[in-house]
Formats: sequence, structure tokens, C-alpha cells
Amino acid sequence: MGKKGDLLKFLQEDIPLVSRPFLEIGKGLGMEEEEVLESLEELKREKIIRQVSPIYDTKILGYDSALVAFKVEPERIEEVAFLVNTYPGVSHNYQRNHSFNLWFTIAAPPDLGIGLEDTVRLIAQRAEVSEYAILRSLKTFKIGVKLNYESVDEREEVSAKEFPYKPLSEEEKFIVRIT
Amino acid sequence: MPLVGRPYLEYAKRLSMEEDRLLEKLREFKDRGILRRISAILYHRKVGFTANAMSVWRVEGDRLAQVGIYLASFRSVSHCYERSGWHYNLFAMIHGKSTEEIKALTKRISEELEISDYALLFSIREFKKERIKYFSEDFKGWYEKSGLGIHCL
Repeated sequence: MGKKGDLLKFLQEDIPLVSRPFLEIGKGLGMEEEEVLESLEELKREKIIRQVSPIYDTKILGYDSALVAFKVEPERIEEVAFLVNTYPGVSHNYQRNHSFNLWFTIAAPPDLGIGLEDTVRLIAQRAEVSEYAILRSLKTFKIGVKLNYESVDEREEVSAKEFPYKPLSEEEKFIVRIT
Repeated sequence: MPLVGRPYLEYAKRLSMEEDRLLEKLREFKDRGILRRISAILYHRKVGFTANAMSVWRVEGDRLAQVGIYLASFRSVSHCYERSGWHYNLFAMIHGKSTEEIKALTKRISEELEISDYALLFSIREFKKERIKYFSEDFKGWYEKSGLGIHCL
């Protein structure tokens, strides 16, 4: 993969919080800032990189979240998936090989008075899905996708820190919204 | 993120904020656990990761933490949680280059840990993969359209 492959590895780590982050990344790879930016554009054009962005923690933002499983008649799965997707708090939605065949992650905002369970019930009603399960996480052992290995059995050190929730100020919410 | 030399300056302009102030806030977000990291999200298939399985395991309570930490230690596991609400209580998302590779790995783990009650739910189709727009008006809009606007409650 060469330089571009190395860059891909770097970009999946943590992009530094400095004024010129791509200059910094370039230093570690023997690349000019301009070269890094050009490669980035190329990786986006080639549809290898979906996006570069801050990744926020749903729970620490005060959102309630869960994994939800729907049991859907196979011939209705597209229609139901489409309806589920209309909810802005659904980030991932997959068909899987199980009798519960539609699996999505959902986050419900803290301040609208309608909680996660009512939201899921509403979606299920509208989709005419009668069997579903809400699976909440009790403990996080790992979170974060990094596709930078060759074989599935490679190992690494992991530390999953837990943080206390502290409400965000309006200014802070604005930053999260814009970035 | 704008792919320019000073991306935080671009963000800062949209926020009518100084670049330094924004960087300071983002560092604070990181310390508080609000911001996990800033990084590239890839199209999995394009980089060869065509197989994805949600592996689900039934583990006795006293062994759960140990098994969770073990599963999390594989690079191919991106997410690993203890969850309530189902027969299986430990979930590990595995990304591989083939289904066989994932089946072989989980079989090996199952034998090694002597946990026979597990299942693999492979993803067949992706219907959505998107960043959530936190604190956006879209949420309110959705509830209103559903006839459940906050004014109704």
C-alpha cells in the first residue's frame, strides 16, 4: 500500500488537535502537508474514506442509546428499514441472518420529553412490527473501529475508560453540532 | 471536517469563535470523554473488510468481565459490550476479510474459553451508516411529524 496505506493507518488513529494537523501527520510519514491533503482528497474521491470527523460519545452527550432488534417479514424489510432510518438518532441499520433480522442502533435526545423506549415503540407501531427487543449496554469493553490489521486474530491492548456525565452548556452543544 | 490546512479555523469561523478557543474546548471535550477521537471513517468493503458479524455470547456473570476484556483484545473486534434484554449477554462486532475467517476465530475462542452458547449474526445488507447530528433540530421535527410534538405532551 505504501505511503497512502500508512496514511490510512494514521488517519484512523487520532488526528491531532493542533492548528495544522495535516502538517503534523505528514511529519510522522515523511510527507509534506500539501501531499497529505492531496492524498486525502484522492482517498475520498476513490470512496475509500467516507469522512474525516470528530467522533462524539453518545452517552456522555446525555443521549440514551440502545441496540434494537426487529422481527420483520422478509418481504417487508426494505419498507421497514426505510421507516426506521427516518429517525435522526438511528446511526447504523443492518439486515442480519437471524429471525430477528433488522438490527439498528438508536440514540434518543435527553431534552424532548419522549424517551428511547417510547420512541422505539412508536417506530415499531408505525412499521407494524410486533416483536422487537431493546438491548441496552451495561458495560463497554471496547468501542472504536480501526481497520488496520491483516488477520482477524491479531491482538492489541485495550483500555475502556468510563467518564462521568456532566451536562453540556449551550455553547458546547453548538460546537458539537457544527463540528 | 474540511480537508484544508487549518480545518479547525474553518469550524471556528462557522462558530464565530477563535481557533485557539475551539482547540481548547475540543481538548477539554477529550478530557471529559465527550470527544472520543477525530479520525477517518472508511468504507469497509473498499479496504477489503467484506465480512461483518455481530457475535453474541452467553456468559455466566462471574466470567463476564474477563471474557469481555478478552474479546475486546482482538483488533478485529470494534465494539464489545455487555447488554441486557436477550438470552445472549456479551456482544462483539467482528470485521474480517471473509466469513470463514470469522467463523474460525469464534470457533477457536469458543473452544478455548469453553463457551459453547454463542451465535454469529452476519450483516447481509447495510441500510444505514451515518453520523448522528447531535443537538440538531431534526429530532424535534421527527417527533412533530409523528404527531408527538413536545407541545402535545
